[in-house]
Amino acid sequence: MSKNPVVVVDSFTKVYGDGTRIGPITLHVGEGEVYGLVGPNGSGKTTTLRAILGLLKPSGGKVSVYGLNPYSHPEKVNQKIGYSPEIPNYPPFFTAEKLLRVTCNMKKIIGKDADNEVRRILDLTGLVNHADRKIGNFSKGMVQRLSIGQALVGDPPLLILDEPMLGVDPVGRAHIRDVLLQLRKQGKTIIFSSHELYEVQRLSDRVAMVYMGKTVFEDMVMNILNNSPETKVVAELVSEPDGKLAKALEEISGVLEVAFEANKVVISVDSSLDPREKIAEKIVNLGYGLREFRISQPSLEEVFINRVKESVSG
Amino acid sequence: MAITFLLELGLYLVLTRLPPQFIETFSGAAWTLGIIAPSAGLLHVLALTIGSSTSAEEYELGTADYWMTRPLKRSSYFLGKTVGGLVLLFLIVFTYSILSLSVSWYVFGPQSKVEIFPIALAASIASAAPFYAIGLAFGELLRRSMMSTIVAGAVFFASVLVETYANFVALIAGDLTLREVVRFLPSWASTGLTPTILTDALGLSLNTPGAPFTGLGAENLWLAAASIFIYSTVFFLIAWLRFRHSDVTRRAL
Repeated sequence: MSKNPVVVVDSFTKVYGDGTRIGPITLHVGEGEVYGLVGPNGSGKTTTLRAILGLLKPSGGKVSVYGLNPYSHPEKVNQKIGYSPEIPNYPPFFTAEKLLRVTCNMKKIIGKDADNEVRRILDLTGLVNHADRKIGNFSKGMVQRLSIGQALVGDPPLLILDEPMLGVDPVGRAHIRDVLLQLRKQGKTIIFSSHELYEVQRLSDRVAMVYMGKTVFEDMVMNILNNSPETKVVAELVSEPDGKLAKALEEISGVLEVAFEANKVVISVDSSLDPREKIAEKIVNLGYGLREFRISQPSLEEVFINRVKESVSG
Repeated sequence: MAITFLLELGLYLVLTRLPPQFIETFSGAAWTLGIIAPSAGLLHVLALTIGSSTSAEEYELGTADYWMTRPLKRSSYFLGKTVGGLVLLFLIVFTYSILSLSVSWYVFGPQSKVEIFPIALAASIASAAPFYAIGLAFGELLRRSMMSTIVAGAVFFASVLVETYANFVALIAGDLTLREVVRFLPSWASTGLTPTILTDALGLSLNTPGAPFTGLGAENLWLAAASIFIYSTVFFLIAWLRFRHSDVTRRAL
């Protein structure tokens, strides 16, 4: 991670009263990064986010936000954080505007500044026409949007969003995605957890995958996909491939597996050895002719599912 | 709260039905009865209920997350919640006390000793503090409002029962040690302070040995104040320590 570290979670562990153990979890979030935290239910995503927010005390390891321990200095850390919880719970008798005004007040934004801030947030979240409605009458998607909105009050540099798409319909999801993309363009540091791996792949620079309370891997999204064993080279040939070609390709260092699909050769490769050039050369030299040559990258979801399977099988 | 007002109205309704000669002796200070009656028990049940739900409901509803992720000192949050609960308690006491005064004035004519009204208010609030603090502490420890109300309520009723039983035994057996022992119970000062202060100010004595809720005796006022202070401080401290040194739990899903 080359950017200034904003959040450092180093071998964080949490042991709950019932003996449930989460961790060790390690993640590093740099300034301006959009960081996706993925993993199944109960894997420790929310626990990690709550430790970053200073809501719980780590049993072991270290958590720091802007160089501060969030558990010891919650008021200083929370000055720089906007947080939207997994299940937003706001007083149901509050209107959207009232909640945003209270939030402004707590961030010491008052008077005309508060009016402008409330207006800005309502615009951004598309809730202008619902400003006077009570939160108790909001749909789930509207509550999520409001929740993200209240996190944005005061324009904090770090946003922590726990499952921001949870239970939101496709239209609402698209709206939230647009908001997040806008924030990303503004250079905000965003940490968000999600089950929606497609969204994570689309929005994140860096991803940590948490499973059974442990970090399975943490890397840039592009690195994860490029270096994944699921990454394949697909070559469409002029003539039909045969056993001779398979044998020749398997001799190349970095080629893991060769399969044929009609006129196509699908080759599993070790990305770190990058055998693409040698593969193309061999196909051409053996006279099979190349019509198309491309890299087939897996989705984050495929990588995730395979890692989970690997973890389960030990 | 509605029960408190019903108690007040019921009390004065009963008083108007009593023979005039019975009422005559204290009709000029009938307003004090409306303050003494709730302090026998209802005030403390109210106090422990408010104390239990003050913080526990924030955890139950999940709104604690919202408050605790604001740039807010934990001490400010705790103080805000605690004072907020006390203000609510004060408003209830103030409302039923004003109701007592106005109904008494309306039913029995001009009331005397009204100058001690602020003292009566202060005594009621002070005497409610221990069970408010006990409720607050159990609310923080259990983080479930209903559960903590039941536990804090059990503490109150157990304390009252033990006090009554010990006083009764002391009366029959003539064993004064038992009357000394009950002074360590939280209900002793809580239920006795307001009647003692008011009856003392009116020049009456309700201090009947063995009878609960009839006062502590003016000579015990300082001891009662100390008991209230100690119980309140200890349980406020328990609540604070539990709050300060434990995780902010999420709402039960």
